[in-house]
Amino acid sequence: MKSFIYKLLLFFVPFVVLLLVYIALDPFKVLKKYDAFLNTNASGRVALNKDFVSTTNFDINFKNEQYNSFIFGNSRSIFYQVTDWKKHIDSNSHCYHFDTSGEGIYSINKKVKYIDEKGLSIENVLLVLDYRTLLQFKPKTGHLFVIPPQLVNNKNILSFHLEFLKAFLSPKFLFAYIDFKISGKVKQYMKTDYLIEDAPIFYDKKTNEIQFTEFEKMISEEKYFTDEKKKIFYQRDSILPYSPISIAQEQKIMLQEILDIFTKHKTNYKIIINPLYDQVKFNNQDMNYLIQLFGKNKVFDFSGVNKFTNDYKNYYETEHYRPTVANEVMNEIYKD
Amino acid sequence: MFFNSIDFAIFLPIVFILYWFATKGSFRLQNILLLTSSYFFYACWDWRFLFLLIFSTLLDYFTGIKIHQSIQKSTKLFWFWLSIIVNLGFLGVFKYYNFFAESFANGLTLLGIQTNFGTLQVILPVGISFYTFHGLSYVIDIYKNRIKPERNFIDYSVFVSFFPLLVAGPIERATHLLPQILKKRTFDATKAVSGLRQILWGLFKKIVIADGCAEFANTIFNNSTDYGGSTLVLGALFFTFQIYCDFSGYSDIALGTAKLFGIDLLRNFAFPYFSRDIAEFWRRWHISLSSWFRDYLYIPLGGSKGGLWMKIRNTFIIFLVSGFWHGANWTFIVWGFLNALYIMPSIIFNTNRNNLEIVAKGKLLPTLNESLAILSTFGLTVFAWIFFRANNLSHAIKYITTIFSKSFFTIPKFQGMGNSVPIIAITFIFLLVEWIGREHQFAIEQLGSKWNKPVRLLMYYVIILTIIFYSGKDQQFIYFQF
Repeated sequence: MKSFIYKLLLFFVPFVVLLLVYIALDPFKVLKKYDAFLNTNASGRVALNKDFVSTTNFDINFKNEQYNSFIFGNSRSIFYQVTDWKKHIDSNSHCYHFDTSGEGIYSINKKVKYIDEKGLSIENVLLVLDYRTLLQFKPKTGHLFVIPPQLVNNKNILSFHLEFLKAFLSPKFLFAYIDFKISGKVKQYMKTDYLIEDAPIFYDKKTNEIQFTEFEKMISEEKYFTDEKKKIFYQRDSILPYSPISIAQEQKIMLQEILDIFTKHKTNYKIIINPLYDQVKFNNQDMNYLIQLFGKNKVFDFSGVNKFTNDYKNYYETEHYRPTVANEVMNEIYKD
Repeated sequence: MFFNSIDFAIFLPIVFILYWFATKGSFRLQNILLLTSSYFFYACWDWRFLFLLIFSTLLDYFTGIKIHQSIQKSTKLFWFWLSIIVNLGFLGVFKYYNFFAESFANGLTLLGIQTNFGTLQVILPVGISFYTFHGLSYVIDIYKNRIKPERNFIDYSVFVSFFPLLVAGPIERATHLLPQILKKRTFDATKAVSGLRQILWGLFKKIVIADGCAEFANTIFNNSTDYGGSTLVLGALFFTFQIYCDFSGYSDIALGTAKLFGIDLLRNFAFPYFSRDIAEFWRRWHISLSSWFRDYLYIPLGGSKGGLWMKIRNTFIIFLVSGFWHGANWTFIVWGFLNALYIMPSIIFNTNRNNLEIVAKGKLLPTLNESLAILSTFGLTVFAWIFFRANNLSHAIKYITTIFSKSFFTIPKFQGMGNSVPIIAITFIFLLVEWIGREHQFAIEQLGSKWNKPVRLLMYYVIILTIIFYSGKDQQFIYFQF
């Protein structure tokens, strides 16, 4: 019996070694405490789970900062910059970007409840949505998207960490990671599948805001939209396509729960439907439901063909619009 | 708690260590530990259904004793039928009530009578079909004087609830499992190593092949109207490997886990896709259920003793009941009917026991005749699985009609097709390993036994890393719903 267990333990030694290496390196920053998850001006970095970054950074700072204003949404919501937003709400507000890559309504619902449970007041909210956000009503898998344990009462703590261990052990990542560590360079192949990133950013841990200052500088110097870059801006359909119906029973329950918390906090909230480059129009059925639930003066649809979506220069690439667009959107929704 | 979950990966070593170190070799303590662990394992799904399991166990325990004690035949019959009716009653209410209510209402509607039978909003208790059949075989065996009832309630409860087989079989027999529960188990390292190997292979089948194929099978079946015939054939093939690896993978983990506790469970699969005819397929697929139906339905109905027509009738009955056992849906019944049709030629011409040995035993490759027989049996099986997987009969018929259209001669194309290439390649390797290991209990039982140790270890590491790489899809085992 003892010999059996001894042999079994011996068999697992290589896995234990890999596990120890993983713990020591913590490439996804999910095991140790970090003062700041993202470093301004770093030449390259392992792609992190933004949901975990946003939530853990919130956990670290909420007592000192006493946040009372929140921006929810996917990566497109990061361009609603706090300094611009404060022009429209109380300038003494304590704002926080509670965004996530590939955000879904499931996770937004959990975050709103989480803030409520922490006893913070929710005075202002920007809810930045599109049909893809609304379609996600279940927890996602994959190390970049798995929901942080804090938001689900630590129920998924084991599977959460297993996702990262799996990602670490995948040959694709391990090879790119070792190459990056040795060479210190971010190569093209590392960027596919979002393994290692190199886009220069400015990160403010207090607000969890990311700014692509370098890109904006290049745009102002007319160096950003090169011929190579222009190629990614594909021709849109001349016929106006509509997004699929994305609000079903599950989403309705989650939206109602969000509204209940906003009502409880007397929140001044605005719901923005993203102006996406694809010019897919947010479908009427979903729009009518949002208006019926939240009120006409709370929901603003910028999808489809309009002044924002017509000009490719409003976008860094086909998925993300620029802060100038976000600023104009805010000007419009807060004009009354 | 699924076998492919982290919870189980923590649960199993704890129970294993306690079983061998804390019970001091006492089989009574071992049984108490197995029973509490099994109830904990079951309660992880839904603790409320634990009461149903305990009630079912108590019912069969007491009726078993009463049947044995009864001197008068009428009293014996009373206790026997009480157990049968209550057991099947629970199964009927939880699994079949809505099906019968809806089918009856639909039937009356066809006759112009409008009715509205209320349907029940009930959750199907996991494993109910399996533990009900456990209990039924026990009671029938006592009634037929094949066994004596077990007087120790703990020991009997372990027979019904032993966690490796509790939720999806194999469907055990008291004659096979109870004697093992009633004697002291001593640690056997060879058996434990074999168990670990079988668990590893089961996990590989489930997590890599079944869950990998499920993704594409679901895409194709759920959007079947968007695709041509050739793509739908591919969808049926994906499902064919999904269901085999899902269920046989589960069975491998169950058998391997039981071995860790010194217990041998009934074999459930014996490389069915290498069968040369349908009769052989059914001797190799879900063996514990097929043999249950043979012993407790086919033979009591007269089996093959009453001439050809009785044989045909009884064969149809067991295949239809077997289909219905899988679920309250006409698709399962048609699937059962189709398999009964497939097996008819061998019943009529008395060739159903032609292929008792494993194909090409002792040889590397099958003969041309054997290859053709395997391929045609496999083709028939794939066709029948379409009914098993389809949402309803009209879905299945549309699916098949599209297959037999001109679009069959087009190149398959579906959303995410590129991602399916690694799974197709791994499935080919898997089939090769299954072929090589077909003379053993499970494919990798002896694989690498003659290799150098480092090479053999490397094989295990590759399997483990592949499992880790493909894990996380969190697909349920298909047979849990039955």
